[in-house]
Amino acid sequence: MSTTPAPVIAPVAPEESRDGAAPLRADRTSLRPWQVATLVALLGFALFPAYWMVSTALDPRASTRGGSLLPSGLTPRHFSFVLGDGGFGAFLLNSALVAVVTVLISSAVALLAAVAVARFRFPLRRQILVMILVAQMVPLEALVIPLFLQARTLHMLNSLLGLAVVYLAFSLPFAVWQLRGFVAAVPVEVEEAAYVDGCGWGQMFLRVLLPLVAPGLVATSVFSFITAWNEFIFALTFLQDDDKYTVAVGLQKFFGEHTADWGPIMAASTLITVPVVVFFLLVQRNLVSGLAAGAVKG
Amino acid sequence: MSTQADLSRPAGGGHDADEEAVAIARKRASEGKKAEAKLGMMLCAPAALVMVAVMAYPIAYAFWLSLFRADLRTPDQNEFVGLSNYVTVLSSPIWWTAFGVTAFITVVSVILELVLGMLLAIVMHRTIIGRGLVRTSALVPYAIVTVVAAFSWRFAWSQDLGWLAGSSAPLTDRWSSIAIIILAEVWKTVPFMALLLMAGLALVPEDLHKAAAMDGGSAWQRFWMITVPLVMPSILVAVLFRTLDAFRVFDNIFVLTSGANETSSVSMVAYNNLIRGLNLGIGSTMSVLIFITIAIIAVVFTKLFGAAAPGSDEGGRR
Repeated sequence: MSTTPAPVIAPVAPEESRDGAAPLRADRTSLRPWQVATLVALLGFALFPAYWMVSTALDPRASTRGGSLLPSGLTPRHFSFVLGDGGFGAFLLNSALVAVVTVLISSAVALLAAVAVARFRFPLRRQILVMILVAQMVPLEALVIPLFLQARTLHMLNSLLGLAVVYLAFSLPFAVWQLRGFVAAVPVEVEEAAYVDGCGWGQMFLRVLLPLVAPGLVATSVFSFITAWNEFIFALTFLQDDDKYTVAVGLQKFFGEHTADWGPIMAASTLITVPVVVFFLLVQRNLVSGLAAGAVKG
Repeated sequence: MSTQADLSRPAGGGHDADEEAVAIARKRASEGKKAEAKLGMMLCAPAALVMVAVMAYPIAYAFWLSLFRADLRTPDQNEFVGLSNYVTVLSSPIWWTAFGVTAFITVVSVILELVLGMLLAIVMHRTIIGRGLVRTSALVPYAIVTVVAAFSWRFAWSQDLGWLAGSSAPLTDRWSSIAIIILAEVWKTVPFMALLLMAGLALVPEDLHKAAAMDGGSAWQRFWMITVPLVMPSILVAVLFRTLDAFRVFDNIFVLTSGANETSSVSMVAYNNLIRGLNLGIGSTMSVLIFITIAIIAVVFTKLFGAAAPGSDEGGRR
């Protein structure tokens, strides 16, 4: 599966604010029994494999656990093996480096473009918007061969920077599209007030617009982060040395030719998963809605 | 930047800002129109350049390569061959098997995701107690890296070891492998689907349901006659994007079966032509065919559903 999110996921905030405003929700609280059952079943379906991963990672006899619901004990052994002899710390670091570079550059570049398409009229604006929409649909897996050759020519194979450039391009269309919505949601009056008060565009951008779209920036960053953290096929084709591996590729290392050491694999999997889940929790907290709406009053 | 100082937004008019200052701003705005165009283009330039260099150019390059015999093992025999690569690929059973597998996985998983995603969206929409917790938990599969999840499923279905397999070895048989690939895809994307559909559900006025209930409409009738039509734009957007996404399936298959027992998807066949076959011409031809298929899916969708398709309403966000 690709990691590019569709350009339509509303970050939770706008919808949340709508919910809060909806006056008629009294009878929405009551779940009928079949609905409770469905909720439990679907959440179980969603969460149980994750529980299995974590509990197996802690199970001292991971590979022979079979179908028993509880692990046979708890041990940090697999984690210390993975981070020690397994050298997984280096992979985590590589992935973090690539992801952070991708997120930082992507946020900056996407925000500038989003401001331009949301606020300015200029030649090629339409074309750029169309390009962003089309780029959303490009099957990235089909770009492996041309990008591999391009990277080879530019000596960017086996380089984390080369990978970051690719992820940057993959995360941009969605980031621009999302941020465009956030910028458009800031009332023009707020910007005008800044101009009336004597700000130039640059000052207005830094002091007024940037703080107001910050929640949107956080939300968009999460998706850029996931794009980079999750990506597999390009990391697999580009990176050749062990010491350059990202987490998704590094995971393969624990696979022998015919045997698989499931304890360490599940421990490494847990280590890969934790940062993303943490990021998701962060975005829920950070998406404070109504910030821009409140700024016009007073 | 010197141009920045001249730039102002045209005033909205009628706002209680100082009229004189607004007039000045307006004048400056018309003077700054050119500066606005220039600044706009400069702000867009980095994003546009990256997308052209890393997406548009490679697509063109893939198309170009697909017209050549380009084999890394015999670099001195590369020559222009016109469309003969396309003839080779389109008459190859390997391609069509992969195409069939990909199409099957796409159709079945999107249907399952839509049904389960809708169920999850409805119950999540109605949940108020612990709403944040429910939503976060539901998103966990989406947050788990595909490769990681695929390894978990592989473990679960390993003979004698996994919690789901027992003594069977489902990953050694073609159809049960495909079923497991679909399970992994569905598991990962149901929450995502539910999130998209929930944004649509938030737009259905509760009044309509009340009115219909008063007129004696059953919950089932109300779902089909009120909820579904109103949520249709969200459904179409979600289905279109998941279809395009599912058609590119790679990670799950790579980890679960490595394409054994004829379970390769088109992305995998193209990838194998680069890594194992080193045959760039054929690989590029397959890439171009994947592009074309994706484009056809997108165009058919847009034509069939017209106004409800993405792009016409800002991707169904409002």
